Amino acid sequence: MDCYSFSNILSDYLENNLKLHHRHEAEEHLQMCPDCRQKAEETDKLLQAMHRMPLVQASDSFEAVLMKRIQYQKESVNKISYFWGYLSDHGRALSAAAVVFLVLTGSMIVWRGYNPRLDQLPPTANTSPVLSTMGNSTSRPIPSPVANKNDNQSASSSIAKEDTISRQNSKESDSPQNRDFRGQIKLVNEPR
Amino acid sequence: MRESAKYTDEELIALFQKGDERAYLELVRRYKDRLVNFVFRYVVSREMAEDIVQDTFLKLYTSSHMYKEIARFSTWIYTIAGNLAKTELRKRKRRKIFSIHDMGVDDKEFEIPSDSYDPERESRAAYQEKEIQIAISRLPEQFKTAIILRDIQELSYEEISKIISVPVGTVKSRINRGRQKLQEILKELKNK
Repeated sequence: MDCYSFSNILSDYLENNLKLHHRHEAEEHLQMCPDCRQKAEETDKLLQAMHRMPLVQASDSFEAVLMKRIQYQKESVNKISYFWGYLSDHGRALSAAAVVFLVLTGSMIVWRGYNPRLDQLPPTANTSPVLSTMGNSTSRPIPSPVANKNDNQSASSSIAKEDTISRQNSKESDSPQNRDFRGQIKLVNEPR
Repeated sequence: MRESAKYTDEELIALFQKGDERAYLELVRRYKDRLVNFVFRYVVSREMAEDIVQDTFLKLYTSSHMYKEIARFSTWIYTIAGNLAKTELRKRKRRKIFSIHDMGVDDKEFEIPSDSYDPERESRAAYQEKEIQIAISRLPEQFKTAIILRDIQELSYEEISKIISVPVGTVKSRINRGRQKLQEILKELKNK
């Protein structure tokens, strides 16, 4: 028997699990090989030390804590089953309430003329002093009679919003700063 | 229920499956210390070991119907505890907070029983035990479970084979190699 073979049967040798002729072979090898002898002795000591290791026991409160956790688990399960029970009992009423809510919300959106494009306009587009002043003096769009009619007729049209914005611009153009600027523009436009 | 000590584990779990909670408590009393000892050698923290064993018994409470009489109850409960311990170790490795120095607090709880008080012998034995615990915790996963179950819990090869779901031959081989690996780690620790 060589050292490799001996190391493969070391545990069986120490636990007396070898057949008689294998045991004789192992003992013969041990007599000749001090390294394997030392290895066998050390492993035997290690096994004894491990068997002597004291039992780490559960604490005194172990059972009490476990019972509390079980109780808590039971209560959680009861709460969940109560919730599902409630849902199944009142399922129709809850569905009807959800439908009414959706219909009401949808109607409000339609009634207010919701237009996402207008909401996305940059707030500075019509509030810049230069643009608003130039718009007042030269290129301010004058609402056409048709547009006015539409304005009166339809509360949900985008023209209504434009009108509101331009009214805000006209208020801003009355500020002293804007008045001075308007004067300068007039000077530039005068023939030399 | 007649005197609980007369029942086998398998009879107790059968009674619990029929709703007898006293049978459950008897199983807890029979296995809590063994399991805490087993899991402690795995996770090297008494607090964590108790938590894991609590989870094991909680699982037994909620999933007792999963137990089938084809396996021994001890095999089944050790498998659950072992899997929970492995999951916890994996989590800790992921968090990278595992340190062998964590075991300091728990080491103080070890006391080797002796008839006469011998401080020198006691300290020497405790030191050896601490070394062994460190060495076990450094073993590769596949050797660790087999070594703890065989050399600390003193289970048979057949039972270990069922718990870790590998053939008996593989269990023997892992234990043999694991013991030699343990020797190597202990030598490294002594040389440091």
